[in-house]
Amino acid sequence: MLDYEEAKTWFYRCLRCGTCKYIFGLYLPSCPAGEMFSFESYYSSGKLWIGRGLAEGKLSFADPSLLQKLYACTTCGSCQVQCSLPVGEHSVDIFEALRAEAVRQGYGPMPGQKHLLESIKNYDNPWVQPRQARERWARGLEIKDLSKEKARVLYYVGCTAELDPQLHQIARSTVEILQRAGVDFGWLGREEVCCGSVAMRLGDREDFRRLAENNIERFNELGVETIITSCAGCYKTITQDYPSVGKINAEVVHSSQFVQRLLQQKKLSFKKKVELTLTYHDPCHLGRHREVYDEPRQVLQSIKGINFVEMRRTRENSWCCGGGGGVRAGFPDFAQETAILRIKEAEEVGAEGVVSTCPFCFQNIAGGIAAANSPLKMIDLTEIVSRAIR
Amino acid sequence: MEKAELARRLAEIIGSEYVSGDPDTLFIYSHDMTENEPSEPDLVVMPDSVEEVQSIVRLANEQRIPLTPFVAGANVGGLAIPREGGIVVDLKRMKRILEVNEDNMYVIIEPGVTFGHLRACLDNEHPRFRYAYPLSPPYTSVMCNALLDGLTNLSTKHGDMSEWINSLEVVLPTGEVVNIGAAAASKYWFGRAPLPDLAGLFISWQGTTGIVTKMAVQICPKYKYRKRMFVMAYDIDSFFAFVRRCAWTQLYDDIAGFSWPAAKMMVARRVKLTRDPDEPELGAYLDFSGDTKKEMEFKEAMVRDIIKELKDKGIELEPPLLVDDLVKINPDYLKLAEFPTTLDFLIDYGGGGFTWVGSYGPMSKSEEGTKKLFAVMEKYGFPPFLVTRPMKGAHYQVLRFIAPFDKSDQEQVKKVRELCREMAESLLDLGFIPYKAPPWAAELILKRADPNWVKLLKTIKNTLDPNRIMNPGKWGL
Repeated sequence: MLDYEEAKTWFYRCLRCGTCKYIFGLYLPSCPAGEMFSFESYYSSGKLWIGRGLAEGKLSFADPSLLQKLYACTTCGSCQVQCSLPVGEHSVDIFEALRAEAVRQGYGPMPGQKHLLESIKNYDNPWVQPRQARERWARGLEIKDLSKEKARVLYYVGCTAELDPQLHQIARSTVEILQRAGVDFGWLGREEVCCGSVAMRLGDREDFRRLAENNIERFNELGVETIITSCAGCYKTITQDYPSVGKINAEVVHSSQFVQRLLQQKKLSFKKKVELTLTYHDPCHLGRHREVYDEPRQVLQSIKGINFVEMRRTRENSWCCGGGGGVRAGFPDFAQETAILRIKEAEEVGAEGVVSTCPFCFQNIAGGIAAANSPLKMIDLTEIVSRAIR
Repeated sequence: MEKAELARRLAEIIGSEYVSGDPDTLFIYSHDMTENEPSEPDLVVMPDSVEEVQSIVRLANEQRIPLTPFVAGANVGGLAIPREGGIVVDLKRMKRILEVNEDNMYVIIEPGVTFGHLRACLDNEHPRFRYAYPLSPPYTSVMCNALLDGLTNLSTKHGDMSEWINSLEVVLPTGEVVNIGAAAASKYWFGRAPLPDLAGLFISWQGTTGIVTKMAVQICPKYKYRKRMFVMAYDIDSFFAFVRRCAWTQLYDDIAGFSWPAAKMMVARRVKLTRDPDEPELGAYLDFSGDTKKEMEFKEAMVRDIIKELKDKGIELEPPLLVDDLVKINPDYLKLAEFPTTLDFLIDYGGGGFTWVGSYGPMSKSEEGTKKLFAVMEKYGFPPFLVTRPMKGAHYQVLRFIAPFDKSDQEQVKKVRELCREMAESLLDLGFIPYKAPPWAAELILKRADPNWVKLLKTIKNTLDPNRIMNPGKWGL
């Protein structure tokens, strides 16, 4: 995490050589915003030069068209991978610092994103849902309530998997896997609060800090050894952004990592064949931002019957789903177009389904599949795993 | 015409999403990476077809509005800075490779096709062929490089990249579309002879005579074997003796030289550069290729023979090193193993500024030019940073002196401007001519040039562009 003053030190480290725009060697586009809007100002280098203009007083956050450039970015970090200069390592942090300054000055985020921040303030989730709605997905399941009893593992479900009925299956499948493996786990139910990812990405540092402080204190009170997240965004935020706020006395893992560990420990085995040709979409927050590439693939490839195929842009070169960084709320057409490009890539390699490990990617790619009238199925890794262990 | 009305008319042509007058966009299009003064356009547009370009040009011509062509964005020399405002025509959406003609060895490309994309296309779909690649970022425009007399890793053999142009499609400043070269009279865009060579009306004119919308460039057979080796020299005279001797064999694809700061920036990642005692002053890398092992062995042996021959004459050179061996010492050398490559080691100076004075000139003056210019660079406090190569079978030499600088420091910007001017003047004194000449360097050239050449230049410009709309301020036009 960078503050605006720190970000300023990087504005003059980019020449606009253009290396961030494409994937070196493959020479395929890397930047969803640049691909969608084309003007130089939308690319990573453009945003860094906007920083120069702001630092020199030639541009202003009060200009709505400037905000459009700052917020029409999925913060996917692909530019960060492609740029081989030191500034590249900080691109997303710099963009987030610019957004934070826009919010601090009272201009950001975009109109279509403001309700997300208001909802987090009012309901502790970005989806304008009452707190008790977090419990709906778990009806009929017996899960330890960690506000009342102890367990070694906290399943931190995350707002999106909990509150979007289309995604309840992710949470239910995860619970099924944990129970089947005999894991001593529990959850927080209606007391779970947002990890702060949305606030952080949109530049509301104050609310992010409030949520992070609250969660860190709560996690530490629980005395758990391990925290599992279903959401790549929660995982990135807790492991990458929380350390600047406080220390968590537990390891934090993504569900895909935990499942792979259960397989290695032979606490889980796959009994049933799943006869499907599947490809894996790396969520940016799990892949590029946290370098978790192998575990989801190893899990998928361990399941009998799966014909696993890779898309052209994969791992650190993956094409973003288009939904992150507030883009789905702020720029729905851009989010959908970007998802459709990913869907085409999956179709090109003959996949029947796209597997991912992020509810956000799930939402956006599923939306793209519907819009493109594609025969592809969108599937979370835990759903496939739960099918294979039954 | 009011800006809002102009934007409306342009939106009618290409759609409002491809017309921008946003302050941030105008700010970005007003700069390049060099020391040249920024200047804002009124609008930026992004056409996608020759018809759209034609309509934009017609409107601009009718309204007397300046047009500045722009492509990939890694611009130098202020050539794509709209000195008199008007419209920047960003052509990067026109990025199609329209034809790869294997039998006649050319490709037809649009302006937005970059070296990276052409490389990928040839490698994936036409693996028997290659194009040439410059020591520039991978996403620079193939067309701009050729139109601006750029150079590449096959220039030692074939000359500057304008010589690779077979044919053009150009939108003239008055809006007509014209085919140039073989394309004027044949459905095959195979070359420029035997017609009067009108391609010269657009090459190195820096976009002042029209907008090129299609270009056929030659491709070469890709040989089975390729090697790159490095040879280090302890002083300028030894280096050029070696380069000249190798170049005259006309056996090598590329013989490029670089001075010690380049090596240091790559290997040691140093920004503050000082030459270590006993460190070679210049290095050369030689590329050679062939279809048989015998041919390769001969070319490699020839280099070793040349080194021995020169050593016998008292010229100190290090034994050659293959790039594969260098990579074992430091993996960073991989960046020089294959082109196009990322140039992070050259451009990570820290201040976001990068400029150079590049020139073509007599090979016989290479040593003198290098010594003189190194002294100028040192006088201004810049490390002696040179990239050089013999061109077109050693018929001329490129000397390019590079100065990374801090663009946020106005004193340094001022200093680098003075440095570049003095370097350009020194090179002109020696008979070299700056290429991709920024407006200030063009003025220096025009002052020294044959007055009748200057008069002819202006006559041609006025004939083609009577309303002076195309990239005004370049070449003093």
